[in-house]
Amino acid sequence: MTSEPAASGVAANASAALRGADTDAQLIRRMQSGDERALGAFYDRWFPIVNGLVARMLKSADDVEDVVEETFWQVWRQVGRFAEGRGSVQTWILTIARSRALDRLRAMRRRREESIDDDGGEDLVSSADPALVRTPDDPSLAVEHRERRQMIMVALDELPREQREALELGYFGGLSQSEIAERTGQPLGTVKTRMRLAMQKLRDRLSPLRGRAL
Amino acid sequence: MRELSHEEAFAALDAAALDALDSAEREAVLAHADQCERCREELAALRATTAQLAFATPAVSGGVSGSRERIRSRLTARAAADAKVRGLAVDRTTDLSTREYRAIRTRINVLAWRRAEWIALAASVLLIVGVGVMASVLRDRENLRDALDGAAASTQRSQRSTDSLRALVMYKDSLINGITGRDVAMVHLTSSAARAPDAMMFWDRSRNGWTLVAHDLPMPQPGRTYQLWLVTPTSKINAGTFMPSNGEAMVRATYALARDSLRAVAVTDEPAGGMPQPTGQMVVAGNATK
Repeated sequence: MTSEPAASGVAANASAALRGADTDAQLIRRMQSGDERALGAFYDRWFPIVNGLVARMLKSADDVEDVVEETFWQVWRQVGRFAEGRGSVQTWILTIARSRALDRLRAMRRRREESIDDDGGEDLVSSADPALVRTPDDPSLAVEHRERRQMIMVALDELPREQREALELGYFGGLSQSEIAERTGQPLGTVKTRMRLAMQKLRDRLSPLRGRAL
Repeated sequence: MRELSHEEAFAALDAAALDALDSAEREAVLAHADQCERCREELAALRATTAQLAFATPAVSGGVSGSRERIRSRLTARAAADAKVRGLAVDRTTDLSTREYRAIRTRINVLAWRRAEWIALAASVLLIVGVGVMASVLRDRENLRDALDGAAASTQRSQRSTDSLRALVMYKDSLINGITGRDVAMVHLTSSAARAPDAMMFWDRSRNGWTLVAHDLPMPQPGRTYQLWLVTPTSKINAGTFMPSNGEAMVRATYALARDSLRAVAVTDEPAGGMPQPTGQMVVAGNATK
């Protein structure tokens, strides 16, 4: 089950209270009551992460802008359906963001038969444009984000290269297992196995972060 | 869609969490997860793990060319409009402390008063200008109304003149027809007096019209009048009384009479108001049988 551990949730709320800001849960409740300013605050909190993820998956700045806006608009429209006990806010919004980016990515590929070869097989995680890279505005958020990123990068670095590749091509590249097999020249079964093993290790390594709010 | 066994679905959950399944397989896995609590919970846990991967990307806080603020403005505007449409308007006062709320209310009141003052000033100016414009409009309206009344009076006068002229023309036409028509009989009336009055009766038999034209008639004595008679074999018919003007007189009457029944036409001197039968001196008379 993905619900936040009680201690983590309390710690997150206390952290947010010390910062003088609403927690994600509070912002969600305000949005559910129709407060558009809560959406603004929620956007301020999550824009750097969402924008970083979407920018990593899409190349066009216009597409990034569109997808980021679609993501937060979907948050606003579906906030009434969000149930705290069924999952964390970060899983919810990052799943929305990635789904919207994937939709855009796949639509672009269908239209232009664009090849993922354009990425040149570079490290998908570390290739963001340095000119755009900045830490989140809120210093405490920036620290938390940096720590979290550090943990994830360590977990990814611990994966065998082929497992990491399968994982990243699936997550950031938006490729299906069949497409990854085709791209890497590996049997589909092998791709499935690599992806499963990568996910299991990652899950173990990142379990301390699961449900921990920013 | 092929139904998956629990083992098959469970083995594909990690790929489903990454959204890395082909569409048919993805649908089958999600359909199974909907029915299977264990798979549903496992899928949620795997999705939470994959969501963490987003943090592997460097945070990009600035966006491109101010896109961050641009998106924010659009979103909050859309959300505000959407909340209004859905009837989810938020009472802003609940977000403020009492002191903040009072301070803002005070500020709003001050601004409201200032705004009210400006509105009052603007309204005064508008009122003055409006009164002037209204006075001018009223003056113009009065002038127009006078002109309209004058035009109406003139039109009425013209109409009356036209009516009079039309009546006169009709009268003349009638008179002309009464004395010149094809079916008009004439009776010449004469007198034996020294300065003999003279008269002519025109009988328009088709229209039953009678026209007497007399000349050199002296004025009757006070209390007296002239009376015209149509004489038949059986009666003397009263055709009306009249007074001359400068010795001249014209009398018109309408009376239906059989063509061969008129024997004579006469004018007598009678008491004012006339008599049922002739009682006074005959002034002029004419034989109709000639």
